[in-house]
Amino acid sequence: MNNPLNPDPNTLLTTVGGGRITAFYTRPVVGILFGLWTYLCCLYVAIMAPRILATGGTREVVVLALPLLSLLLLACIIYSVYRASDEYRRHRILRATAHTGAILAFSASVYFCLERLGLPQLSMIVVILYGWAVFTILLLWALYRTR
Amino acid sequence: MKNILPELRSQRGWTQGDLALRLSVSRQTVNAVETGRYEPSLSLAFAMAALFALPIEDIFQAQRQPHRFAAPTPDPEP
Repeated sequence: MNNPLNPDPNTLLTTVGGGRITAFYTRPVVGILFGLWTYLCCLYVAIMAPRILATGGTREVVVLALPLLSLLLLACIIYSVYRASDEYRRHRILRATAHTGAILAFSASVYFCLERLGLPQLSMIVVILYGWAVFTILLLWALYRTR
Repeated sequence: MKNILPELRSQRGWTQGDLALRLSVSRQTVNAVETGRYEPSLSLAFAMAALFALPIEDIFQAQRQPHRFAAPTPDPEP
């Protein structure tokens, strides 16, 4: 039970829905959501940069470096969450990673067949966003289940 | 893997949270081990054994299923 006069510094929101969900918005969850939000913002800027910036070094840096650096930040956050977790949570995080790989491989195989039936070829950015979306959902589910 | 963690815990009047606190793991870890959804690492099993002052084999009873593709066990020597 969290004492409101002495809140747990590891928890930003202790109870939701009459105490049914306890301590979900912990630092790991907030960190991952922040990292993902940063990554999506940088990706958006990188996509929009060719329309706004003139050809040159700055544009190349924005298009190439910004998404990579934010992706590195997200990877570091997830790794630090993994390192700070106990063994059961680590087990669930690894399982989420394996499930993401399996879902992506299956989805890619299915879409390959659908492409043959006439569906348009997808950009790599769609595959990346789909992969991160699946991974984030599975990761947050793993953190929720081990809260 | 079967275990007698719930019995040992209730003998001492501990909740899953109390045990988790003493083992420095999350309550969900204790819950997963007790319900058999997760088999603890050796270090966690040793920590549990030390906490209850019992040998590991008294806390955990192995229920090994033969692996599907395992080599057949040799017949015992006559």
